[in-house]
Amino acid sequence: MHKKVDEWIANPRAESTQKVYNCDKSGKITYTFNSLGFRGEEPRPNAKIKIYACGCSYTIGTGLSVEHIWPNVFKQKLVKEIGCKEEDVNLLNFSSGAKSNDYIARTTIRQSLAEKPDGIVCYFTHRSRSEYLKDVEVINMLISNKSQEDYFAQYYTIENGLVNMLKNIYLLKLFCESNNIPYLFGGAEINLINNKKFITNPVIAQYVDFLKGSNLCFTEMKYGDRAADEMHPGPKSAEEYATKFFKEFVEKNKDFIEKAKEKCL
Amino acid sequence: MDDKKKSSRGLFHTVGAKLKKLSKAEANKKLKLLRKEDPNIYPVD
Repeated sequence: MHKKVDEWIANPRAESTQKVYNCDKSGKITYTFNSLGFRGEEPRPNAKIKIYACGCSYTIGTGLSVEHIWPNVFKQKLVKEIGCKEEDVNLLNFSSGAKSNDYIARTTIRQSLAEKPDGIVCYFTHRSRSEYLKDVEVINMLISNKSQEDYFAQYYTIENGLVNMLKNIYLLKLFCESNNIPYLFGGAEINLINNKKFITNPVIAQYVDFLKGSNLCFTEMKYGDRAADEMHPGPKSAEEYATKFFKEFVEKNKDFIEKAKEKCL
Repeated sequence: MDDKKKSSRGLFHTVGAKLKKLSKAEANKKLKLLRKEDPNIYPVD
């Protein structure tokens, strides 16, 4: 394990509740943030099994009730598979809406250094998103942001976006593997790894090669139904995704499942 | 140039190249295409 840090990082939403979150203005969903400012359950370092999840709006569950968010569905399936009590598994979801692949890899690693998890599940986001550093400020770069048009129009390319996504996946994969943390990563655009249009690019091809043999789930979340914000995938789509993701997680992390069963005996 | 050299040419390219500044029309066209890849509209978080 890398050098341990004393505490998790928190965000300013700590211990708050709100009815509006990012593009969800429906008022139908309650967003409750724990003492660290993340949506979902409180940290319980003494839980038998600790799972970390991270991603963007798909993973924080914009427009979805907590029980319908895919990592929560994943947790329920895990509890059933290993035959433990719900409180034996502590799922911490460090996602934040509209965030980038830089955020996902960086935050997951940082939180894992505070308390090593038993497993990590992530859903990487759209390749165009990144963090732009200006002095100590982190600017979240989004194509949809009008004030950032110049950057995307003049400097951004889809190839650079893809390389940034692949670098972040690779960084987190190396972190997990070097620290013996079972993992599975999915993503909103993870299938681009298999897209011939991009892998003929010699630089992208190198990153794709680096990722060969990684625990990746190539199923992308579908928009079968819609969440309360009418934009994001709805409860059925999240459930369907979690089911496929969980199946792959079990197949690719058999040792983890066996050990988790023993821990819960 | 043999195939091996051709395929690796892109890895060691272009020293000192200048990026072409896009015109307003070109920039708008590029943005329209880029925004298609991200289906969701978000306010800045």
